[in-house]
Amino acid sequence: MKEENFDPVIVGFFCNWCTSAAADLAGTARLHYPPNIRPIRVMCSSTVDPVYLIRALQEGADATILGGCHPGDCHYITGNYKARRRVAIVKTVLKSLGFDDTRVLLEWISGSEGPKFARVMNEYTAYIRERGPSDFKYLDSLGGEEIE
Amino acid sequence: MAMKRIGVFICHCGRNIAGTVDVKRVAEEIGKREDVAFSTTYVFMCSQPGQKLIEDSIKKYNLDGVVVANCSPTLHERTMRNAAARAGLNPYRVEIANIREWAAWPHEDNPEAATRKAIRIINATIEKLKANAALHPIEVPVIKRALVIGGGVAGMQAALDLADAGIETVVVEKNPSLGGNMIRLSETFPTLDCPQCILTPKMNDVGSHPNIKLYTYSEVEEVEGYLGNFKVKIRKKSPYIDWNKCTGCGECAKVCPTVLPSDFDLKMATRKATHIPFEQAVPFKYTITRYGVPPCNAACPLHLNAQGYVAAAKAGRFDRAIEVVWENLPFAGIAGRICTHPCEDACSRRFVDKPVGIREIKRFVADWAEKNQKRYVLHVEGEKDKSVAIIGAGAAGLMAAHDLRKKGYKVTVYDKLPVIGGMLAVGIPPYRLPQEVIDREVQPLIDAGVKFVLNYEVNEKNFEEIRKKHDAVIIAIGTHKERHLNIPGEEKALHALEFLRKVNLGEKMDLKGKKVVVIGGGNSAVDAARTALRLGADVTIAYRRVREMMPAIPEEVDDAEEEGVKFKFLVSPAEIKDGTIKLEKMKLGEKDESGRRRPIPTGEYEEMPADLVILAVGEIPDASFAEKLGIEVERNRIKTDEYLRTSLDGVFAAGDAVTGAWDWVHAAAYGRWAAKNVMHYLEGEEMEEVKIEWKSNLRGFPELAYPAGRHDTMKLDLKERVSTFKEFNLGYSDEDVVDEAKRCLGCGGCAQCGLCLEVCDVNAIDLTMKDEIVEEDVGAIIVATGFEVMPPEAFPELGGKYPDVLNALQFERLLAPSGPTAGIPRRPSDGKVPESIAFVHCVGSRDPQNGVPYCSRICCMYTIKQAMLVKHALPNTAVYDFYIDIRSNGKGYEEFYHRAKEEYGVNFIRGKVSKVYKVGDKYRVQGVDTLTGRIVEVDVDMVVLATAAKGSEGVKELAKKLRIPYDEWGWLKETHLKLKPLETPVGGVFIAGAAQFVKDITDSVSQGSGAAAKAMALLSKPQLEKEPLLARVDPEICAGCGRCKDQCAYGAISIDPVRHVAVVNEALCEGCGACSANCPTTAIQVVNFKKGQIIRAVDVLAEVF
Repeated sequence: MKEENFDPVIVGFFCNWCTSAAADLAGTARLHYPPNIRPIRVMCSSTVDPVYLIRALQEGADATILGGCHPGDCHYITGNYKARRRVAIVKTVLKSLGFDDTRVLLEWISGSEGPKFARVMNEYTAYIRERGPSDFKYLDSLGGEEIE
Repeated sequence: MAMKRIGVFICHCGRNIAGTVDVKRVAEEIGKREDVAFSTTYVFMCSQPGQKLIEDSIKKYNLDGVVVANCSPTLHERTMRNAAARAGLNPYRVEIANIREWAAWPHEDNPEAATRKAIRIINATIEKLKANAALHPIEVPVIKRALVIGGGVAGMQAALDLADAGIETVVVEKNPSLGGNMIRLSETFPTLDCPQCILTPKMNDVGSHPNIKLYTYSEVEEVEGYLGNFKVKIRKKSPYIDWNKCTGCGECAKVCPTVLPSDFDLKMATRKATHIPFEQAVPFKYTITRYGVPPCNAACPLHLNAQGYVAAAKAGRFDRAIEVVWENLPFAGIAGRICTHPCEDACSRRFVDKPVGIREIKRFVADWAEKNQKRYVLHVEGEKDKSVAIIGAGAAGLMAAHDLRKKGYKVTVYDKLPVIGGMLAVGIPPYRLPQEVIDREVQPLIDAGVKFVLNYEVNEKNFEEIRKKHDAVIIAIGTHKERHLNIPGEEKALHALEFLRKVNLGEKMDLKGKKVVVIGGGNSAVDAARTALRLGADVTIAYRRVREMMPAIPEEVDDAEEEGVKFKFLVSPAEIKDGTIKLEKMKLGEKDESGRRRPIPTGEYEEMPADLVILAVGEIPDASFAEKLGIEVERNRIKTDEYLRTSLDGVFAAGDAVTGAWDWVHAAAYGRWAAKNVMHYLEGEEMEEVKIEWKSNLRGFPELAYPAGRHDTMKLDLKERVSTFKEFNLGYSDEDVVDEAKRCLGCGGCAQCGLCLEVCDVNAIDLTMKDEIVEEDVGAIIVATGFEVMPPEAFPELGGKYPDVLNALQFERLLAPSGPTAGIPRRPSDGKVPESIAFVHCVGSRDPQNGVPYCSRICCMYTIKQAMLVKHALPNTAVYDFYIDIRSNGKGYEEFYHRAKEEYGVNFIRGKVSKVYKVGDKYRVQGVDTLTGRIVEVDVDMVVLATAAKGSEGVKELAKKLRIPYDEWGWLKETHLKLKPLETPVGGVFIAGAAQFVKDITDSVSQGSGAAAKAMALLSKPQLEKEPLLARVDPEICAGCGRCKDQCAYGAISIDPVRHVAVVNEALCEGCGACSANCPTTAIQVVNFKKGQIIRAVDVLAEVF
């Protein structure tokens, strides 16, 4: 599936209290990371419905990343644990359908971890770039519409 | 209804955004959208003209929604929403697209990509915005009270400012007194004020202010609620003293025998377990420190308060010591003689040299009591009409009988032997445990009404009668049946139990001149051998392993050898003949399940003369007895559950009959548990699972160890010993027992010896006091938890392990006029006044490899101050100051530095110290002078390390409870370092002082006042506004499944029992959205974060181009 000049699309869901703040901090410190990360701020990692992740992959993203507070530090007490469970389920579903489950990533990045934010974005983009485009988004081209 | 006339305002932010992102192109691209009515750029959207531009455009183009593309929403979301509101647009129809921190800055190296990303972020934001509803903030009441966490200088300042403004303020301080780190200091730079003089007025004001409610020795346990409406649970740690009664007289400390390191003086001094940390403490109340259950107590199956009676013995108060033993155990003399002392095996003193002689101390006080005609009295706590039968008057039976009788039950003990005591009486020879000790310790039970029926064998015939007569039965028959070897000639041998029983019951036996061989290596073997010896025999113990593997108590083996018992190891009996015994030689093989190496037969034999062979190869319960009664038996033991219930209703079992042959203390412990569960059974209460051993990781204070080694007890003269059955161990002398008790390391802190209770005139002391949880409702919280400095031990290469190498805070105590050395520094190791001192800056600071990456800010100044104070106190002492840079950036600081250099002659050396090590009596400091480029070596008497500062201990746990962020060093994170240094992301929670980052007193006080002002602004509002971004339910599609309810961490969701739909309590909902992600029907959604909105935004973000 590897293509020449492949430029991955990665949708990032960042919780308001930790990972969004870390992204702000990374920006303020002018830490560079690839523009392939396309961010959206959500209030809590627990509000991310598995549908959002699947939808992103379906609509063209090569990967998704969900960033939340460290275990025990959730602004909403236990939201990150709920997120962890949801992500585990999404990964299991992807894997059992034969898709690459590493295209959904959950990371704990606290509000003071600007450098970690940049590092994770760099590493994950490099990883996905190495892995090639996701085949999940080509589902539409598998002939679905024609049956209709 | 989706918006159709959106305005998009793109900010240049000077060159911050426009320098990277092509803002003109962004405006053009966005302007092409059909739903965008107007798009433009401006140099500073947050400026007043910028805001005016938004206001005017809303009116001019009749905009129904606004996206401002600028910086992080944490900065200007409110500005832009207010601007929109002024123009009549609902503020919740304004969204921020963060194109500065999220596009321009991280991608400044790639303008094209940054521009495209900015466009994409704005497009996604528009998609989200389009379905935003117009909302109005929810008004919530505000509780006009504040909480300040931390009673240091910042916290006190905040509390006083709030209280003076008329706001009732709760102060929580974890230490017993206010004062924080500042009150520990000698003097303050650059004014050289004495903190004891300048801080105590503040402390007293806080202590007595009518608007301040002070909780010292307390910690925040739990925080619930939100801005303006917090509910805080505070744990008041038990000081074991009622502070309402305590007058601070100090009599308790005078008699307290437990000496601990002073935490206030950072181990530079000692204090008693009951203490006031320092003279000026507020409140001036005594606190008793208990760290937990000490290892001795935890290891004791009966959980005797060993540290307690040892402490009383240390004070020479044997009368008190015996009372402490008696609180838990009437059989002090028995235990003091024959206990296998698990307490000593667990004693922390063993890491220093040898365990404290706990058993012998107990034995001493038991004998002391007898000598002084002090007898235990069993006080029955109210008669009950139920009765319990106990079968067996041994260790387990006696313990159970005592405990049951104490609680008022009628107790009858049956035993087939003619004496009370079971194995204690017939299994243990009188030279170890005289019968009169058993008799005198059983007497209180008889006096209290326990009935003993001796010479009475319980069997299948009379058992039912006993069951009928009593409400419950405990079987504690012990292990009176011998194990057999099944070798030829065994019938010619005597079994050890039989032998000991005969001798103990007075049967005459003459072994004069006879050769006796005892087979076995346990306590019974040693007892039998020493008994035979006293009857005149020539005794050899033959054991199949080696001496170190003998299960007998090692001291007993030593005693036997001393008395003349011979040993033969690695032999196993093969055949007993007339006059001889045939032994097979053994060798050691692999380890078996007991962890000892297994003996393996070699096939070689030897014979040795033996007029009598005594077999001591183990004892087992007489299981046939139980079987006959219809009780289930397992592996020759009576089978019980974890509550010690047998298979028969109301019949319990305890002791060796349940566990197999063990020792007195375990049997007694099981007896106690059986009694406990019998009581539960009789009262219809829930049973308790047997738990013999507890855990304790306390290790005491080896640095305070009393230097004496373990004392030996006095023994009977050897000649007399081997020819009579007189007790051979005479115990400690009066002097030795006190000296031995002093060896205790005080692991548990307060030992509960109770000496203080005797001297407290106001009866303030309550050693059973528990922690108390109180609740306070407050509207705002200020966290001022301060800092700590790294311990010197963290820097072994700089000599941190040596006693005279201190950190700066420890040295402050030595410089403080109120400190342990009255302001003249002395070496902790030998009390010598130092003739030379080296100060080392930047220890751990600016050193990410060994400590922290940051500068700890205060060290330069306090080190200069300390150097100066040393010169004040000891003008002839040489002072070397190793620095990297002097950072003296405060008012009057640089001048202070110059004074130290010029007026006081402090020797400043610019360079890093690489090593500190001991040379004779001195410490050699090895470093480099970077100004001359030379290696410097100085030998000094003391070294002071300016170690790095970190957030105080426990602050991370507190931050988690408050849900405020912190970094890896324990500093609390502010909302914005420059502009919101006192705020946290959690509304209503503020930070002040060194909790945010290490700072000097001036800055801490300023921040304290600042945070107070912030809190006042919040609390002065009549009502607060709460974000309306909460979960809402569409009852039309809600199925009432309750999955949302399970997700809610706040208990905000309930299921309406009538309509069977979910209902959200708006006061509790925080708007996290966990519920919505779990809703199978999209019935529950967070307003303005609806799934459709997010998915439309995701579609934009995921799109490939």
